Amino acid sequence: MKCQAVQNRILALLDPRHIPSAFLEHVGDCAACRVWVEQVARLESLIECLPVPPAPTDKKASLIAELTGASVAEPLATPSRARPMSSPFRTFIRENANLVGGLAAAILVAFGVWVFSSSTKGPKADVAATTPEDPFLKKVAGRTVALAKATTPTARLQALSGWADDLGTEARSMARVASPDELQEIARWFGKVKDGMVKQAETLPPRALTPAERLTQFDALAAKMGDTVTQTNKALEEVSQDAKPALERIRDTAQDGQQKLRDLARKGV
Amino acid sequence: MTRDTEPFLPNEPANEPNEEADWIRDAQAGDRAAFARLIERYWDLLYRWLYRMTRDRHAAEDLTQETFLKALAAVKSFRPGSNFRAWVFRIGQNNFVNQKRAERRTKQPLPDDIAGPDVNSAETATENREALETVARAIDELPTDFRAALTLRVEQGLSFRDVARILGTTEETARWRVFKARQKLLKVLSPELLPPGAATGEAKE
Repeated sequence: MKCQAVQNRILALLDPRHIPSAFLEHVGDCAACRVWVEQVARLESLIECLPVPPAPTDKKASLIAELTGASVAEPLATPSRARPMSSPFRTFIRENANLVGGLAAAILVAFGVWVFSSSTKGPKADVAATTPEDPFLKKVAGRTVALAKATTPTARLQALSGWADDLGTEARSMARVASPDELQEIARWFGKVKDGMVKQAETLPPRALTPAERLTQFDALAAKMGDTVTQTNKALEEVSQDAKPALERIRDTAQDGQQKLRDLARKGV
Repeated sequence: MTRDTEPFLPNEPANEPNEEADWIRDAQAGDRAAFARLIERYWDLLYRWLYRMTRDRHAAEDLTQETFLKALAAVKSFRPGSNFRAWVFRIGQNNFVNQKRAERRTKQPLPDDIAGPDVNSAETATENREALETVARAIDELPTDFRAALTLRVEQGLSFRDVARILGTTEETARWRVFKARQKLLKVLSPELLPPGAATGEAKE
């Protein structure tokens, strides 16, 4: 048997380090093939041993924790909560009822009702102390602070826009692991934030922005809503049936917000 | 090319088919903790392969997460009794292909703090690391299909049948790609890496 034929057969084996007896005879008699086999074996061993750097974050642990989170549902302190949610969102809400109240107040601010009458000193210390490790919940805490500190309609608009982004992103990433009720809760909050944005845009004093600034800023906010529509449509192609109603609700809400912001951008222009 | 018996595959998880079948059944019934056990079993293996394909640990981690999320969403479509690992890797392969179309791949050198395990007790750590770097670079230059097949077969220890399932091709094509990958690597690797007499693809007597 010629060397090339033997070598080709060896290269096609499941493992070239385990050579069938049919080829061993030739390898034993051929010095060149003997050396070649050693090279192939070394290459195979090196490939097996190629190192892999560790993952940069710990998404594995996060996903496993999300799937194996606390199962006991407790009613929440805030009266607006109709149903419990799973950890870590539920745990955060449960342990930070005051903060949740602050969230509700922040949304109310968007409707023109000022609640933070004593908050001129800035965010309370306990917000930072209770900020959880979960990335989304850190964003929740950050957005709440930003909204509470916003003193102008424009600043509140920007804060609410960030809120909307976070909620849309969270809904899409949670769509594969959260229950339909949890997703509907996120969709409900998204609706509130959208309504808040539109309200702020509608009540923006005429002198707050020039017509050109108004057009640019509102169009930018509308474009972000449009991104949410696009990304949510993509997610809808991949999630289970159970998750679709909430995502469709978010998409429709975002479409409505996008249109209203565009209309407001051109109002009076 | 003839079929050969498949020796023990060292990279396979412990052979506990009943346990895994139970987890899959429970996961299909909605038990998320059961799916979490499957993630625990296969995450590192999938990450390793996706890192080999992307050469970017950020991309590999993201793709691994995306793969398991998609697998969770589709777990009810998994056919009990078939190879769950191959099924998950197939989803990973699709995600990689989709990402490759959308993004430009960036190559990264081996991290400085990673030292490969000893292949030969006589080699120094430096020589071993250089050899591994050379092989890693050569693998990175392989055509994607060849690289995928080779790493699934050699690094992951999968059978040609499972490699074919993951890549969506026939067993013969999987075997041929592994063959061509090995052949190319032997051709391009430095003579200093391999002792004199490396195959050049020319017929020898």
